[in-house]
Amino acid sequence: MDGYGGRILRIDLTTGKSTKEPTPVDLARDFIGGRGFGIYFLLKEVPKGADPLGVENKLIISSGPISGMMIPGGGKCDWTTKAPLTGGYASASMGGHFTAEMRYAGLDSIILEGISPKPVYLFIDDEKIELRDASDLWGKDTFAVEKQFKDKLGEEFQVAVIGIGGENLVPYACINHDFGRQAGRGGVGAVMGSKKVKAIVLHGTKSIPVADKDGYRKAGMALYKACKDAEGLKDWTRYGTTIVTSWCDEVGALPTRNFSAGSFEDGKNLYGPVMREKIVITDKGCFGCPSPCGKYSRNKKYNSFVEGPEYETIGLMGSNLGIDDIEAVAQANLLCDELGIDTISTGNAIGWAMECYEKGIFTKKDTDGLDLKFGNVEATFTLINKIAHREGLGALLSEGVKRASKKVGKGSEKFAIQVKGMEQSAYATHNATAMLLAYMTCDVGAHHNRSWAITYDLQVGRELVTPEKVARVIWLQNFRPMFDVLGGCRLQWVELNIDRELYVPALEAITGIHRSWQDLEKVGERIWNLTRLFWSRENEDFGRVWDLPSPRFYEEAPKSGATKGQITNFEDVNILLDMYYEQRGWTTDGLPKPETIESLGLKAMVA
Amino acid sequence: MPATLRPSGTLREIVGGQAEVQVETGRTVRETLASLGIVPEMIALVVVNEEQRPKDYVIKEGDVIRVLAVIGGG
Repeated sequence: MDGYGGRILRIDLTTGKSTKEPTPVDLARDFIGGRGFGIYFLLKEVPKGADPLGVENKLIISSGPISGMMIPGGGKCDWTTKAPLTGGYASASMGGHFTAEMRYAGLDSIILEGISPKPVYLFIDDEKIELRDASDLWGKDTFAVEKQFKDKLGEEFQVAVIGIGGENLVPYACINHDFGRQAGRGGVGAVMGSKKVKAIVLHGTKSIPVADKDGYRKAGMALYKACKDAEGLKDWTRYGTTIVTSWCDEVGALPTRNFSAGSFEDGKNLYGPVMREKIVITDKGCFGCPSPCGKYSRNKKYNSFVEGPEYETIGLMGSNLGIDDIEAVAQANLLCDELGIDTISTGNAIGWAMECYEKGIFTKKDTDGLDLKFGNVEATFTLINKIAHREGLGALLSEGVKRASKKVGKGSEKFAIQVKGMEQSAYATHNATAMLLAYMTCDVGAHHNRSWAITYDLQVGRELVTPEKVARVIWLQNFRPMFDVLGGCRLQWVELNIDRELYVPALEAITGIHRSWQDLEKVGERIWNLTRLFWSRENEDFGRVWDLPSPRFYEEAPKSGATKGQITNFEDVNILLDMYYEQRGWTTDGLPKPETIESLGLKAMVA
Repeated sequence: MPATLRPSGTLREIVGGQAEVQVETGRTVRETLASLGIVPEMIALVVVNEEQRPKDYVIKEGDVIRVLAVIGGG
């Protein structure tokens, strides 16, 4: 089948057996790849009510038709599972070089099933597939394990590995790869840990069949040329995602002291140019990337090296904790990566704990003696370790802010910054209604990457609540995650503003199937509805209340910064949801109507 | 000699598809952007003569200004 490796690899960890099956033609046609394959297998194969960390859950790793191809950003793969953090759908995107090797090994998806009786790693070298003993790797940090494999097997082998956090089933444990790239959110690392899989190590040498080689070459070249000619290439490459740090501070979107404000008085110490000058030593890109956004840093203060920090980590581990030292943020980033826990959820959880301490809800008795004031760098480092090891206060924080605040009570639920149990990423949304709605309705919880609508807020009026804004959020939700379906990176479109139409001939040349962006967005809409149906299948009380944001964004206007005194009122929150559900063809409680399911051709999938 | 502003990507659509616009000196970048119909808050980076500057930078003769918008996001 053109554009595909052609095989789905299943590993039954309980029995140790592996099987390969042909990638179904209709699956490739209807769901294309990546997170499309992920939700298909998740809905079809993981039974209702499965324990996310139990034997019935599966970890589904999928590439897409542009993964591993000479297409800008073709280095992404999708990790789908039932999320231990939220009890709903998880889909985490990981960059690097893993997905390319997957394809060269002829694999479109790898599905991990069951639970191994002992720690193992999955070894794949083309047709050679083995589960090998990982007892000596269990307990080691992610970098040590990856280096060990690279030293032993060579640079061409790609490694995805969990840390102590994943072994200890921290619900927001991540999967690390390429010494600094992650499948970060929702707890995919905990699922891998629950299956006793320490790492996946793979290498392949096959080529991927292409429908039209000449067309592929021309379309690929056109995409690379557009990137090379882009006016913003130089600056985006120089700063990567940190280009937005100063901007977020200026417009009141930079999470500050547990999202109590959107501007940080010492924010300038965290800005991109400061970081570039102080710690960055080189740029680091994923497979085939013409605009490497990764920044590799040497941290003299802590005598360490780390990839990053990226904007999200700067927001959550910096300003959100009242920390204005970029080297401290970089070190916190390194600790999280070594231990294999998501920096976004970790920073958010520590911010919540700091607010509990400053409000007197926690005393030193609760914090294991830590003086947990905002800005305390050493306490932050200590807590990161405690979270990964699930010790003391870290055990509580490791559960995520939704569960932790429910246990603690005393009003702390009101400043637990999450949606559906997932901690909010680094955009404060006191007065940015489209971005607020994007977080409320995101299919994994409060994550930004599906629908990054905050500039639209600024463009049209941030406080406005209009059908046009809602339509924009929906369009972005249908469109942007298609990059995670195709197995590519959205940042060339996002940052360099290259014409998205350039992808159309490339995809056609690779797969032999013409799909316009209208066609692709329809696939995106189908996937979006299926993820919603998965949430409702797995949670009996699922509905409107699950889409509500933290009360912080409709009850507590910031007392300082660019959004001082600004807040979205609760009535508008509900109006946003009403309009969103109506435009999506969902009920007033936020569930896809039967006619919507039918019109999208999904009836058979959910029967 | 007037100053030159180079908008990137989709910002060019706002200024009639031009890659370069001649702008007045003596005004801030922020004021200049607003006068061109570009919402200043959408600009993430201002680079004047290859050095990053704040939006309150006052434009001088001969300056070449690049502005980078955050349209698509992270």
